[in-house]
Amino acid sequence: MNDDDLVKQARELLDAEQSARAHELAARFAHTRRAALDAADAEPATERVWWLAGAAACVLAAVLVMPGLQEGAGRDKGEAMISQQAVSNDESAAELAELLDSLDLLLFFDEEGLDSSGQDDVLDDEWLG
Amino acid sequence: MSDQAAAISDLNGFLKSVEARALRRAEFTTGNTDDAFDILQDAMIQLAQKYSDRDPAEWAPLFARILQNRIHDWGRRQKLRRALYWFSSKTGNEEVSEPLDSAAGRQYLEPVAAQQTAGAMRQLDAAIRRLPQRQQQVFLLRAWEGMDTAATAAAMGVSAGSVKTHYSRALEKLRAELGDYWP
Repeated sequence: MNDDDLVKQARELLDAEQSARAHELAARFAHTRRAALDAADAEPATERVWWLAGAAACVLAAVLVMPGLQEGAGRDKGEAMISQQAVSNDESAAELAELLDSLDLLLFFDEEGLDSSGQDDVLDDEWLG
Repeated sequence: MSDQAAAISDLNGFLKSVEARALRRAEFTTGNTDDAFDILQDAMIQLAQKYSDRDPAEWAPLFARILQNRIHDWGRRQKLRRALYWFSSKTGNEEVSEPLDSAAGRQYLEPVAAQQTAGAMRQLDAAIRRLPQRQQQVFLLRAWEGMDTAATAAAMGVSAGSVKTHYSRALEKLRAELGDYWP
């Protein structure tokens, strides 16, 4: 038997067998096909549901998280302002301290009798006799 | 009729046109109808879910490839299962019967037994089953489904040269086995 005869006979037998079984398996084939087509039909709907669920989750997260973030940002900003104010206060305090030091120096001179007004009196007295 | 309904109707027609041979291809490898139907359903679902929006002209090669992959996966799982059975029998566990030998696996032969050609069909069935999986699938795609070498290569994910080699060896083995029974 050559290859062509073998293939031809095999094909005829397989086809005949398939036809004989077609009726027997018709219900199972229909069920199998229906399951596949239902899956194809359900797929876009399922995808839509997942998209909607994802979008809802994003919105919910935004609603829940954003105020917290804003509050946090405001808090940070407030802290920064307070910190800046504190620096400013420190600078003011330093300036004040310097000023006070200067005043102390002036007072020191005053205490030593170098008060300009007093000297003027003495000089006036000396010069005026 | 909406576009989607039309597409599903087309797909239904396509699946109907290929289901019988697809089932038989899976049966030759699995040796039983239930596993073959599982493979067929998986392949159909995969096609319907992932490729139903493709050009219907692409469905045939896509389905052939998906089915081939599913059959191949089944074969791999069986190998693993056999390895585990071997290991368990070596360690003294209860022996497990070979699933391919079960009577249920041969149910589909019963209708054929009523035909005059039952003997020849039995011999052909047994001879095809004894082929290595690749030779078996190449023979069925080329000889039964009428695919050419290029289409068979695409469906199986192998080279055209490999298809020719497997087909030639399959024919040689079948001829050697069936020679005495087939005039």
